[in-house]
Amino acid sequence: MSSRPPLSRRRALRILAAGVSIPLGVLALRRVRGQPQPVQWHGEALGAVAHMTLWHPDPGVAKRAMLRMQAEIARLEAVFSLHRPESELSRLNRDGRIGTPSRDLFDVFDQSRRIAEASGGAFDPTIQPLWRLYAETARSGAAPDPARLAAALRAVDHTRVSASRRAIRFDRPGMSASLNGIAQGYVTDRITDLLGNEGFENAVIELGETRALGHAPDGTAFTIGLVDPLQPHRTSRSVALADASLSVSGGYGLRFGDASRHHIFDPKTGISANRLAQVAVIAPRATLADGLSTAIYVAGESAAPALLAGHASTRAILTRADGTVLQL
Amino acid sequence: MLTATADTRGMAPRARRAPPRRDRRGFAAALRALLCLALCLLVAPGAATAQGDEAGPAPLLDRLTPNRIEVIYPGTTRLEMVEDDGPVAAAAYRGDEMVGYVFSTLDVLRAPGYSSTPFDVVAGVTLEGRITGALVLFHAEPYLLNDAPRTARLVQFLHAMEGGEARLGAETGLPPSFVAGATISARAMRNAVQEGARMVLRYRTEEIVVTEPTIDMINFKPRSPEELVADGGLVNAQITNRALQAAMRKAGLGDLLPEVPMTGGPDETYVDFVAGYANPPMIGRNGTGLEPYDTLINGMPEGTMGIFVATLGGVYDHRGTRFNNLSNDFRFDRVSITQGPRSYSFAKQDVIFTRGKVADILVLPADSGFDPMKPWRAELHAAALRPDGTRAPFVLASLDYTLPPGYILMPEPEPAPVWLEPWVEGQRDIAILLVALVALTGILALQGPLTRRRRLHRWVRNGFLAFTLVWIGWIASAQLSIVHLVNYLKAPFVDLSLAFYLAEPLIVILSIYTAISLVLLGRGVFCGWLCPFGALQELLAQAARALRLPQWNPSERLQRVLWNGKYLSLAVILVLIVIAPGAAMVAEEVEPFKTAITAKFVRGLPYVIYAVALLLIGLFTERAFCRFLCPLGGALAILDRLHLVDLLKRRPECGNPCHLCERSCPVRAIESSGKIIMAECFQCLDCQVEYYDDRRCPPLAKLRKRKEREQRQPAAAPAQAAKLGGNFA
Ligand code: SF4
Ligand code: SF4
Repeated sequence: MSSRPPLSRRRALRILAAGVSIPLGVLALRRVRGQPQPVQWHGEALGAVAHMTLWHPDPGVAKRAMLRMQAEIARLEAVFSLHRPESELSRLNRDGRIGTPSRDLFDVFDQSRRIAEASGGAFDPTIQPLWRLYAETARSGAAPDPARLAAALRAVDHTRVSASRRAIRFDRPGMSASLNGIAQGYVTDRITDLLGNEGFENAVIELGETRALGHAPDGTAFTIGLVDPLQPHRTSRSVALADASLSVSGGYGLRFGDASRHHIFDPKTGISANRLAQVAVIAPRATLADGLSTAIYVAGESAAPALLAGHASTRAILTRADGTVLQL
Repeated sequence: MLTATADTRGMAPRARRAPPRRDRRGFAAALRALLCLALCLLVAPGAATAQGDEAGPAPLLDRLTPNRIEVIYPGTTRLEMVEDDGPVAAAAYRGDEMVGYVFSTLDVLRAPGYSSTPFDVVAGVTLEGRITGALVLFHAEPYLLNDAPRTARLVQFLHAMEGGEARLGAETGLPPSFVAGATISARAMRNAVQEGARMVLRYRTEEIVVTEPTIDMINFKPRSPEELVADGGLVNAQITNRALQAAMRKAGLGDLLPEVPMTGGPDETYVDFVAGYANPPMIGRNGTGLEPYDTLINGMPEGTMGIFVATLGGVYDHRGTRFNNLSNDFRFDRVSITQGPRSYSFAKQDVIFTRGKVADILVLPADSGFDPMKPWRAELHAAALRPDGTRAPFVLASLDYTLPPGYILMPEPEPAPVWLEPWVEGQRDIAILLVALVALTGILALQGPLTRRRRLHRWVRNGFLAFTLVWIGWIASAQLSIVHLVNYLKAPFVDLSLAFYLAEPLIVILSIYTAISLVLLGRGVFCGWLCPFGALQELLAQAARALRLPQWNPSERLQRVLWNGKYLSLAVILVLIVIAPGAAMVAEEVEPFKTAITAKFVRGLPYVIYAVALLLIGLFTERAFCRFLCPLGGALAILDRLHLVDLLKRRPECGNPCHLCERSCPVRAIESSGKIIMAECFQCLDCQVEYYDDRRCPPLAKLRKRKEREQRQPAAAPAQAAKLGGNFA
């Protein structure tokens, strides 16, 4: 090897200049690119209004990612949609059994089983027969007939679902699963994870449930408005969300006939739960947040601390029927 | 149309089911308004609308004054025309909530009453299908004109429709007989309101999903026979006296006279006949009016089909009178229908007659084998009279009919898969990339001629690297990364649909090209030419060399150890993906691609510092990251073992005694033995430039010198050049 010339002054200066020019070049490049830009998408996922907002310095990248996420949402719809007669879930509900379920379906059944057990059945993925009964009778505006209600209740029992990777099966006739919004949580989580995987660092994903990926681009948390349960066209408060999900349960959404009959049923009585006006749960993942908020809404205030304690980094905001608020 | 459907579906649960109650004051006001309107109607019928003229009625909103709106849809705060192809209607809003529709029977049905001039009744209907009120704006009914008590009763009768169902024949608050003396008019108006409301609503709230081509039984707009002939819904034959005679001659009856005598000259119309498929309301309902059509659709067994035939003018008609004769077996013998091998003739009981017009429906039962989607032919028959008084039938006209596509609902085409969109939209980028890849293929294939020209090679190489960095990397954001590779590896296990991968055209194309080049030539094609971060490092390194910055490279032994760094980082990532996916995402950050390429350094400070540090190191040790750390490079280097072709040329002298190439390789991929470690080679071709340089490559230089000497003194051939050895660096 040829002998190295000594480190002369000129040489040292050159090295220094080169060392400085790269950071300077990087700074200049950042200038040219500017700040992350938001790109939005509005659409529908599993029958609910859906939004996604992605921030990225190159809007083209965000748009392409959005398209890919739509492809993924479409695929998940084919698994979970109750509106599609050919979805996996619809086929399971129709036949009472499905062989080699997709990993997605199995995962959701598995997670709902866990939350159902933890909540002593306050959250129950097999609530669909009740839902159907109420939807049918809602036309007349009356409460469902007690005999039919009892019959529907017999078909609601999360312990009668056997789910394995081989097959998912209902052990009683007439059972069917709605997955109770937890599927929305799953889709939300799935898309958020994919986006994180693609290198996105700031995003708000609302696919039935809300999840924030990272912070807002300015470094603060995202602010999400909570609907006022007593005046559902207004927001009562806002929640700061960063790298976390929010799920809100309240009976003011879909109603059957009169205001006390809504879509969140107590699986034990078959009657819409009305202990609390609203439950908002903040948890790391949307699937969990959804399961917990439904469970607390049904089981009531007293069950909340124990349910939350079972999971790290979860908190809840409960609104009682009289409008008073309890933060846990 | 479907968006409207979706809207109203969303509305339905919130809208009130029962018609709104009004307080007494409101009621009094409404009654006053009604009386006022009744008076207007009495005094100036037709003043409200420009009626019956060719221009058609004035726009609906112009006909609806606030008073009138208050009567037909109380509580409406705003009306907005519905912009779709359905029956004309305006959406009624209460505040921001859309609650129903307001429409006019004249727009929707153009239904006539007792007189043949269509009346105009405006009415409202809630989204649940309840009539909210009806008001007559114009009519020419003879028993109502200038009859104050009857007009008042009519106004009351229509007003009492409030709350009734939007269904033909549904019960109303008052019976039509309430308008004594004008019952027919009242019934016609009631029917028009009910039928119109149903049409207005049905078009927008019923989701019509067809899975195969289906005849349109929903859409309806008032159409005259002429309009229907123009759009093909009806076919028409206008037979003049001349044409009649021609037809008779053709049948060999030229000497005889027609059974129904001609009148007028040869150009006078003998018969004006139309035919068409009656079931679509656009044809049948327009052709026959309400009752005969209703009989066909609702009064006959499911699946019954009808052929609409009508005579619009002339002395001859398609009915005749013989269908009334027992002696003729009640045969309706002037019309027959044929379709393929089948032909259909009709008797009196197969015909639904229309009163007031020579327009009828010929009934074909569901099991008749008739297919309305296929072409058919209607024949109009006539007869000549023989001298002996017998009839000689012949075909007067024959009309070929095919239901026009406008009357057939086609299933929605399968929406194009999402992944297709970026391929279509990104055509330009795809084209640019393909051109670049073709160019690269050319460079690699023609590397011999290219590397013989040192300067050209430098330009081509740096040009391509700049393209890779700026366009592939910064502009198109198509940096292939370990994340993609991991995704591909995971694909069989994670149920991600193919669409998810296909939605990134440039990445797909680059991946395929890389895979092929990896198998053929090795890792260097991607790393040396197509990786934007690699290009960035190399361009900076060249600048550093130009600035004569000191370069440091590990010894051969140390380098062999350091090379394993990239396999290690790859292994860590792969293991983490299985055991801790969250941590794997952090580990993937060992790649500065996101920071330096996709995000163009607009990222958190730690990331930027890391990327800048790597670039700074690269100034002194070329592509240090690529050689020792890059997990994607590691993955490619492992697979490189498979490659099939070695294009890089070597000489026996390489490595022993010559080490020129070895030192010229910017990434030290050539061992001192002269062997190129292909897993570490970036196909930069620098060594090939030396290889072909007959001033630098010793064996070549020797040859060249010998040749030169031979040229100078051709005889002498000195044989001592072998001692030339290795001290030429
Ligand atoms: S080693 Fe890594 S950074 Fe270097 S060129 Fe290859 S892929 Fe790009
Ligand atoms: S100089 Fe030769 S051996 Fe070295 S990287 Fe370039 S092509 Fe490969």
